[in-house]
Amino acid sequence: MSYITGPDVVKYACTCGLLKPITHLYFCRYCTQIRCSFCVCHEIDSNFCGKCSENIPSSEAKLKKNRCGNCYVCPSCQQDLSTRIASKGSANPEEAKSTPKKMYYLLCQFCRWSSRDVGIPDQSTELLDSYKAIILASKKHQQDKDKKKRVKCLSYTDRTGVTTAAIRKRLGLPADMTNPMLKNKPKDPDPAKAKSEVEELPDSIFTEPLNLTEVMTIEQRLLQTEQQPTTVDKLFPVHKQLSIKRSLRCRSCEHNVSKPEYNPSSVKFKIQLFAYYIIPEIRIVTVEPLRAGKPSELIIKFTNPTQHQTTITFFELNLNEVDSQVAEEVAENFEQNLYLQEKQQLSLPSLGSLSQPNSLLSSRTPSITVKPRPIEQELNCKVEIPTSSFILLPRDDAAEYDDSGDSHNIQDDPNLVKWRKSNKAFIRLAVTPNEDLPLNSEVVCGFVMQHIYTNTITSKVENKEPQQYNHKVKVFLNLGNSVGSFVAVVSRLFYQNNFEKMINLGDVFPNFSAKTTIGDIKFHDWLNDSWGILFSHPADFTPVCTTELARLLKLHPEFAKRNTKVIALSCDPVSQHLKWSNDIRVYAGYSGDAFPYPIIADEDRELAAELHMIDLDEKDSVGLPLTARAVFIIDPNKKLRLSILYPATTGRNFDCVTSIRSPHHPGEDVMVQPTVSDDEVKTLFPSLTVVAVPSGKNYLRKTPQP
Amino acid sequence: MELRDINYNKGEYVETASGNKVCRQTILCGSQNIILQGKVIVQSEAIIRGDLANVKTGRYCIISKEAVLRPPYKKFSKGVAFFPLNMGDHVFVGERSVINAAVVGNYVYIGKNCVIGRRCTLKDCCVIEDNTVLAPETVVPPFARYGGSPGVQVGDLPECQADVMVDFTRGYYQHFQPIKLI
Repeated sequence: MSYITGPDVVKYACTCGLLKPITHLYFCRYCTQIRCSFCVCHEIDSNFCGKCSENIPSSEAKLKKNRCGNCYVCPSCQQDLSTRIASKGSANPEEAKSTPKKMYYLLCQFCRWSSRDVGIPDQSTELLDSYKAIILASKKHQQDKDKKKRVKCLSYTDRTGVTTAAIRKRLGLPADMTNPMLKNKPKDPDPAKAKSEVEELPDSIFTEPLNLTEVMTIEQRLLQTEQQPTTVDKLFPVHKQLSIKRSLRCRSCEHNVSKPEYNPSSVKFKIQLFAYYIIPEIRIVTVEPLRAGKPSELIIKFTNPTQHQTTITFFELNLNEVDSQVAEEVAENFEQNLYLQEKQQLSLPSLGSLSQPNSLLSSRTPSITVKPRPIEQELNCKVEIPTSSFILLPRDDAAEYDDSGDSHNIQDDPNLVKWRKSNKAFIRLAVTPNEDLPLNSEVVCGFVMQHIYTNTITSKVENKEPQQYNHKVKVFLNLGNSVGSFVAVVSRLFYQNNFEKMINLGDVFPNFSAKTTIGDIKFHDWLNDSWGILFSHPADFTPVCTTELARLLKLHPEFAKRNTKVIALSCDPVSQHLKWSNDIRVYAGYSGDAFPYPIIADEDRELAAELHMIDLDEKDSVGLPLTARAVFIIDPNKKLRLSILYPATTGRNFDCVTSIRSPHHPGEDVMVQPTVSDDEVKTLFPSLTVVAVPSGKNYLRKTPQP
Repeated sequence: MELRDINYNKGEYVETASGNKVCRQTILCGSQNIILQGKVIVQSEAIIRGDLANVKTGRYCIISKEAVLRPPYKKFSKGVAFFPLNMGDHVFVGERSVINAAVVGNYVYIGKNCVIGRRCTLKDCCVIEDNTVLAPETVVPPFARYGGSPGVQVGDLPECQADVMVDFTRGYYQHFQPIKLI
């Protein structure tokens, strides 16, 4: 599935150092090396029109500028045009035997452009037929002419692709030798000179209003490269571009790795050395949530595509080692090149006039071999390399129809092989993302897979047994994003700092910035000079939290009266908050149209960790801790005045929180502070009543509300 | 990624002798004109208009939820004629796609929310990406990836696409299992 639509999560390293999914790789069985589309030669096998599926010989394609002679594309939207029939009465309606003539025009079925729009008259087949006859006649005439003209001396350069310039370059001679026959060189035209006087623009440009509907788009204009007209009344149909079939050739051994069949609509191949048919395919089945520094179980599926049994062994992938190897090879190649150059220069004087070029002419265009590059992929996850190897059974196409079940007698290492069926095996590996991996970053791990490649080409007569090679492939797996590095952050905060950084009462509350349902805010700016209540809840769409926030919705006017702003916080994203707030409004029966207080989205839990409102025992579905039920009250000086921390299991009573902001009920007596001495009290509050308590200490002193 | 099991309620699907799994919540008009060659999955709320003309699918086709297979028509001077819709083996049709094609080849992948216009011809081994609108009478050549509205060629496919599709549709059929009551 992922090969067709999704992102490629498993990539194999090509010999040249590029990473590709296995479907895009080839395997040259002569070099026993992986090749990708960048390190093979592409050769055009045939040209064909994608619409009429007709093969067009390369000479004809060249003549028609690689366009189909019969099919057109719409000049307006570049879709294929279809031919429509418009029946039209005969020119002389009075004539008795007049049969309706068939007339043809072109129509785009997508944008409804038609050849009638630009005034191309409908065509009858008569004209077409006569044109075709003329073309045929002229072709025959040309062929006859060519036959007579043909000279005995044929140029091979067209077929071999070796031009005189290329041969001369190979021999070390300057490529641009002027032919002695070409003495009468045509005179170069005089170079253009810049003028300071420029003609003035015509008045019509400034006076006439521009109708944008009549102006072509750039795409439409560039489709007609020769004319490049600007107005839509010149949209003429364009011949359809041809498609090609190509064969691919290994650059180092010059054997084909892919050769398609000639028929344009065929999807079969004469030569098909695709890696998908030779190298075991790896797929990710499941992977546990990845946390920095914690091992996770990874299950991958191996499929053997060949008819031969193979054994898979794992090796550590060391990219630095590979890089140094590549560097060495590059250096070696460089030296070799130098040596070759010297040799060529030395051998030049001894060159006979005709002795060497013969071999050059018979050989093909020299392929440019691609030098391996270092692999540009960083690994941030370690794979515990299993010490044992396992066997992959050969592929058996008949097994699909066999209901008897598997009957293999393979002693597997139960820690490595989880399950196997016919040519497939499910392998368990332990992966550990790096300690310093940031949250939500892509985790990539890699290993070297060695499989046994059975070569079935019989190169020598006496060697009838198929040869077996150990072939190593570098495999890179993209395991998805890390989720759990947060756990490390929190535990570090909790245990290393020994609560030193926890905000105490009277401390200035941190001025954090956060994403909320009302956009990004900076906490102190949002608070301005009012009191603030910040409270957290474990998660959206949960029962207790909904009742809490609904109660707060009802109490919100009370807080507003007391110059207090309210803000909520949880680890869900803003989109979830917005959806949930509708639920709360309905639950609370709230009639206002806007949700009165914002909710902070603390998805990466940084804020929750900073404010220590985390309960490590409460976890969400992926194993991440959730925020507990915290309440912070911050005064207009941005100092923390109160904090409450309830576990997720215990809901808060927000009526209590309201009473914190106004501890007494209006009209009732108020308490006198214990710091005021008994003597002072009498002068300050004459109507004081002391509540008698068994201890005899007079600390419960009430006075009417001032 | 390996495909996960797709579970269905056993009561909702009918399995024929040739291995076709057809949901009961589908609209199959003119069922005598519909041929499913075997191991075909037709999911809930799919519509196959066999009443207009013959509809024939190959083996291992997957018709996803709310997809519509509708034989194409052509206007003539004397009225409208419907043409049969032929589909090859190993074809995947995504959710809510409308197929009006005349021919769909083998190993074709059609994504979600596509509209394949009247009398289109999809050759073997082509991919139509999600949300593509193919204009009527478009011909999609082999190994082409089409996308956008109007649908144009946006890329090529690897040469082993046929085997990738075989593997995908077979895997889909194998993972499409009834819920097991434990």
